[in-house]
Amino acid sequence: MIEKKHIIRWFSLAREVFEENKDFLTQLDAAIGDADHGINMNRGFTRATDILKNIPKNSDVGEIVSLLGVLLISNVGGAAGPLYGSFFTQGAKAIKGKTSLDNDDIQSFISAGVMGVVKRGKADVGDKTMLDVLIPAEQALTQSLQDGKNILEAVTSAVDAAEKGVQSTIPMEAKKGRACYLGERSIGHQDPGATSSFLLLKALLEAIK
Amino acid sequence: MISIVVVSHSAKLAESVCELAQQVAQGSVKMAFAGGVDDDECPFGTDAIKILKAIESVYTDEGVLVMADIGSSIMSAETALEFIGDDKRDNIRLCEAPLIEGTIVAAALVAAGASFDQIEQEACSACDVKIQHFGRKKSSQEIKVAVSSSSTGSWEKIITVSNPMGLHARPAAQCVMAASRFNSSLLMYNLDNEDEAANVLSINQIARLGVRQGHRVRLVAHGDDAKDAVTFLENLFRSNFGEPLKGDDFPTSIVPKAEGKDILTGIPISPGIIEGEAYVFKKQHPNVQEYHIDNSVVEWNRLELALEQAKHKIHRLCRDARYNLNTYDLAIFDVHLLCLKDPELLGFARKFIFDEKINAEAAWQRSIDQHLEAYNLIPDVYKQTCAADVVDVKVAVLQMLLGEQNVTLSVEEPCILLAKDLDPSDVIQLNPEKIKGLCLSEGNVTSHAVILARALGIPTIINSGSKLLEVQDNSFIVMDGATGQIWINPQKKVLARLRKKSCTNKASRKRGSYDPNKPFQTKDASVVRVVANICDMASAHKALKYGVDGVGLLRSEFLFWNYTSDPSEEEQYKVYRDIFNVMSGMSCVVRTLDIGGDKFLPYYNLTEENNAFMGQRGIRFSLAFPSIFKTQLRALLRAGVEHSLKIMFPMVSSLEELRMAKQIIAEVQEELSYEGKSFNNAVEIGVMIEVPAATIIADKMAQEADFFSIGSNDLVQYLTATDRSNTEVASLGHPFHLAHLRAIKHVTEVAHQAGITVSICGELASDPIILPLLLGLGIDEFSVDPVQIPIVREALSYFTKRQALSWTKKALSMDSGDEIKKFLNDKYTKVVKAHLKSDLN
Repeated sequence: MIEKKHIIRWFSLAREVFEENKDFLTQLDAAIGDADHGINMNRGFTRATDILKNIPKNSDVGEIVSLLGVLLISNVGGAAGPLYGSFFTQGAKAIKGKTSLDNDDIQSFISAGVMGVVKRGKADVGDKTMLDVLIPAEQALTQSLQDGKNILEAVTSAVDAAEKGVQSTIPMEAKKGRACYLGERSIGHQDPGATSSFLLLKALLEAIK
Repeated sequence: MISIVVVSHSAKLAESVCELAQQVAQGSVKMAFAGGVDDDECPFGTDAIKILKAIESVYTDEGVLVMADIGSSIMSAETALEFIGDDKRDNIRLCEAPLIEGTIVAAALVAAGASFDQIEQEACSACDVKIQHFGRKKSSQEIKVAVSSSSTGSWEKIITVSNPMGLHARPAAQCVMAASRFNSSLLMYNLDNEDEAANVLSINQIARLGVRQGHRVRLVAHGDDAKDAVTFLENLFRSNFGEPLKGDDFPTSIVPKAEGKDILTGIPISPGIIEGEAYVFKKQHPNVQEYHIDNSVVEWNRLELALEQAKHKIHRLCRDARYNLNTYDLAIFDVHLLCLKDPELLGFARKFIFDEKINAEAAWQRSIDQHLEAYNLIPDVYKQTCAADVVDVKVAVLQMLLGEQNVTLSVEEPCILLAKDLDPSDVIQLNPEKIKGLCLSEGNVTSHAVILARALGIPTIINSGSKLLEVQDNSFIVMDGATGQIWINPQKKVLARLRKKSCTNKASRKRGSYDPNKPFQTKDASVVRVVANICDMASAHKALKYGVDGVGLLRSEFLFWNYTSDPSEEEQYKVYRDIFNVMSGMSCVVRTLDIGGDKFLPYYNLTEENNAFMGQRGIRFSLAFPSIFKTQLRALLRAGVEHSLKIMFPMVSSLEELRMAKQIIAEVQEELSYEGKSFNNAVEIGVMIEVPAATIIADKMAQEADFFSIGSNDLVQYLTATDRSNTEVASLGHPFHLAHLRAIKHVTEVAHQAGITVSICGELASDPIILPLLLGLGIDEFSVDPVQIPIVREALSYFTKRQALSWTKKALSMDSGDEIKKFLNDKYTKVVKAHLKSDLN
């Protein structure tokens, strides 16, 4: 069972992770994009979590997640804003009114969130985007839960799949986002969006351990 | 008055664009901007909330046009719209126009009081002025003219279906994809089969009409582009959906079942004598349980995600198979992709989830099963084939929903696969290296799974009866894909006989293993250049496998067929570049777009011609539509940099045409050089000799071309004035016709005098009987389909160059084609017999 405190811990861990990896993500983005992904993610999570501190004590998990989404939309700055924003706002719709999340809830949350990203970004697996991480992670999570694993095991397998997903973006040619202007020259570089998605999922795992 | 919102990554840019536009509109337009983020260190970015506020600040019910620059501007603007109330959202449009040009045009038109539609449209073509100024590419206006003039209201047309297979799945898929390009609603009726009307957006509804060859179809469109929509579809029908007119030759007779104890008999599909261990594959269909759900939205999201994942899986499978299967075979999966978004299938599934509150798995299953019932009512083999595709899609989505997406048919050791039946998505995953043979107890010759198995070249037998499934795993079996027989644990005597037969078969394809690295040569080691006719990546790989000296004919039409409008320069560039890279180091002859005659492109509404074969074909079309021609040449010249590129023009009948085409190439090279782009500036230019006029003035042409290539199919047809599709007269258009042979001789003589080479790229080039004659007539290079390469290699090895020359001399002295054919046939049979004898000794 994932409680409200886990979700809050997840967001504050994510904030720390993006602060630590600000330069790393920006470097990755410098190779194939506009060199702002780390700056954007750090700004977005710092400002969003600052505001989240003032949320009413009796808010449920759905409300917290949804608010984070809206805050990311207006504070990240790049395409990652609407994309991660959609992940959280759409995911939140699947867990409306919940005060804690059971297996089904966490699965619905992740699935609906990933669907939100798919719809917003209109990308496919293999396009060298965050979906190369999110879709395999969602699949691994669903699979594990169906195999009767507990939440911790399921999220662990999702993070494993996410890590592979990040690696898989290196040999890809970008089909979406600014990197696609580079065509073949995008090959050989790890996708920054995929990397931040992996970091975000890893933070979730840390938060529920 | 309509207002405008400008969105950019840069606040300064957004503001300046507004100022610039206001200057044009003399400050009369209500404008707002949203740009950048509030961060001094890194001020570039976009913020959906800022955009929302900007829209709200100038909102009016008359409309708001949102202009955005790139990437996240667009995505953030879309996100902003989600926060706006439904009643207002309809009045706000996101515009695809280029930011600066578009905004200026839009502001000017708003000030002038134009309508919302007009403003949007004009803004989108704001770059046309610039494009025209530089004289490059066609502008969007011009494209519209090329497609056809637009019309309003409704339009209809009755068409007789002429392709052999009728509206089976692939053509149906093309109809759906075509219909989705238009605003008008399109209905299709089958006048010879009193069914209800089908919505052309639903592949399942079209399939249920049961349209077959000879049926009359009525197309009815309603909407602002009704006429264009009907005309586009009509052209698709007229082009026979790009299908080979002969149709696939399916075995029609079923071998009587002589089911002995250890021998099973089925329908032979794909030849080959194979021995190996049996692997019995029992396909498990997912077990679906129906249950009540509370949250329909979540359930619907689950289904949508599963559909999305199924789509990815199909894309992945097609990507993995693209070297083994050609685009036409892979188009089978377009049908699957369309099923995943079929409005009827989704509509019912949605209804079950929201109205009856059942889980996604059960809803999807029920929706599909409901369709299948409708199919099964009609005893038509083609519809059953469609049903198999629908089942395949059903299972794929259920596997995603149930988390069984990793179930794949994979084997470690080489084996012969036995199964009841397979779905297309199973077959496409088969690795021909591991699956040596395929035997099905059921199956259908027209099913897509079987068509794919054959295309993959896997020896296949179907319909061999239920006993097949009683075979134990790892049993030793032998199959003969040519006769349809399967032996289980055969006796030594039988095995020896089969092995011998298998060896003789191979001997006819040159004893021992095939060596693709050996040069092509005649018996007396005179080297001959053999190159390949290819049309895509799959055929390029096949050609390499058999070993070729280059590409003699790259048919570029295929590329245009895969799109619903002109492929752009970049799209073409990538495809050409990939093919050139694969053929690296070898020369590649590319024929420029050759449409007209029996080849149409559905997006060009060419006037119907009384005699299309004598109409606007080949280079005539390219010269009439210079923008299309230039785009292709630009892509080719750019992709051909550092490759040995040769460009060839089809259907040339006069020197003027050759000169005009060459002039355009020179212009394109100049443009590319001016733009600083790298391109091939040493390209060789050739003429395809297929019109009698070209043979007669070949001496003049040879002075201005770098090479010739004879298109024998059309040349024979035009020389003898016989239509090859008219069975009453087709035999008059004989490739052995003396006129044809003399024409070839003349062309090679004048070409060689001018110091240029002549190749031949018609079907003729791979006919072993005529091969010595063509060699004797002076052909320098033979361009053949990849599968024919081993045959040509073998045929060459039977005779000497001297024999070829002496036979040719004799043949040219004869009076009739029949006489020549008989003479060559006798000579050839003799040398083959002599060869086999010496080989056995």
